Amino acid sequence: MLKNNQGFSLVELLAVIVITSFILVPLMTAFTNNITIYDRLEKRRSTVGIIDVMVNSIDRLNFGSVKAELDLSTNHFYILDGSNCNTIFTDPDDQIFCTNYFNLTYNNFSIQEGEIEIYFFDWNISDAEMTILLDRGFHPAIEQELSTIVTNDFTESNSVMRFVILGHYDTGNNDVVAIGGVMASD
Amino acid sequence: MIKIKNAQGVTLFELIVSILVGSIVLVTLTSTLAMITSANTRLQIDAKMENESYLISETLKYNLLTQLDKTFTVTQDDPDAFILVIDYCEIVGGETKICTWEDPNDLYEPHTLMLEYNVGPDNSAILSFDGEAMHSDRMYLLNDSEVSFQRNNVLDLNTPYQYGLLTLHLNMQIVLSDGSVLNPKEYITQIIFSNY
Repeated sequence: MLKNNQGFSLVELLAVIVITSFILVPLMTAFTNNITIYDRLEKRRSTVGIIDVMVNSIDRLNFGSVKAELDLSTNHFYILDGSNCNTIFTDPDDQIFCTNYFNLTYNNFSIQEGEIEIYFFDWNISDAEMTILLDRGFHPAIEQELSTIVTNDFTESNSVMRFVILGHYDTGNNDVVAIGGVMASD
Repeated sequence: MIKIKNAQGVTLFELIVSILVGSIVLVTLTSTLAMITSANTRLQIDAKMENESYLISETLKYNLLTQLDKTFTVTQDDPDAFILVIDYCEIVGGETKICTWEDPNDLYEPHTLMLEYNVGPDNSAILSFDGEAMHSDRMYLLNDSEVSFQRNNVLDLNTPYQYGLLTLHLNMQIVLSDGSVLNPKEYITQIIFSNY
């Protein structure tokens, strides 16, 4: 006999519901995770698109103004993040360009103000300066870029700067895209 | 023989409770399945449209960002017609032509490309680059799409610019195999073209 003659008890019915829930919950969780991963991938792809455009047009930023701020900095780096466009650039053309530069949209995705930063560094950095920089505790992506800088043969250059563009596309998960390069004066 | 129930059968109460519990389980399973299927279809449609928009942006970037001595000239800027002319020079190995707008001692080959947006007689729009449509046959570009190019938020027609911001408002719609169309979705993408 599979069952007794009393029919199904309440406990048995509840057991069926609980077992069904055990099947449904992982299914729902997997599906929700799938949507979340897809959303993060889309944000990442758009962020790469935005930063790619920024890297390819960075030379339109006024080199002299940025270099002057970098030279003034005692920390040996300078951060441009869109909020200081009107502070460091005096030419209205440069200011408008900078503002547009930090407010790009790619496939409907925009990076919020302050979530995208350009770190500028000198072409070469002395050992003492490098120690100060690394002590600051940059994002690992920035530190990786710093590790490529030659400090032994210290030669300063006034016509080139290194930069890393860091875009935070999902602050909650600390997801970033970082692309580095070299900016040259005209 | 294995007996599932006793000889008395089931009572009306047992039958109702069984149907009720069975219904709850079935409705939950069915609605979950329907929701997953519907959301999955939606995701696939979104992904296709996003890929289409992405492909258009990447094609423009790939073809233009690394070219030399670029100038960008908007020759038409109407709601139903937009033309951006891109002149650039390409360094060539052998002696071919000399770009008139560059150092005559250097050997370059001049090129001209055009990005065009037009609304056709059937009210559908076409975005083309270098004479070829940028979107696939299975994608309608609606006529309220918009393409603009400005240098620091200003545009002067027929003035060559060294840089500018291209903004694409692409209102797209997928065409299914039976000819029906799905709800349109707008994608906005901005690309800075710069000669610096």
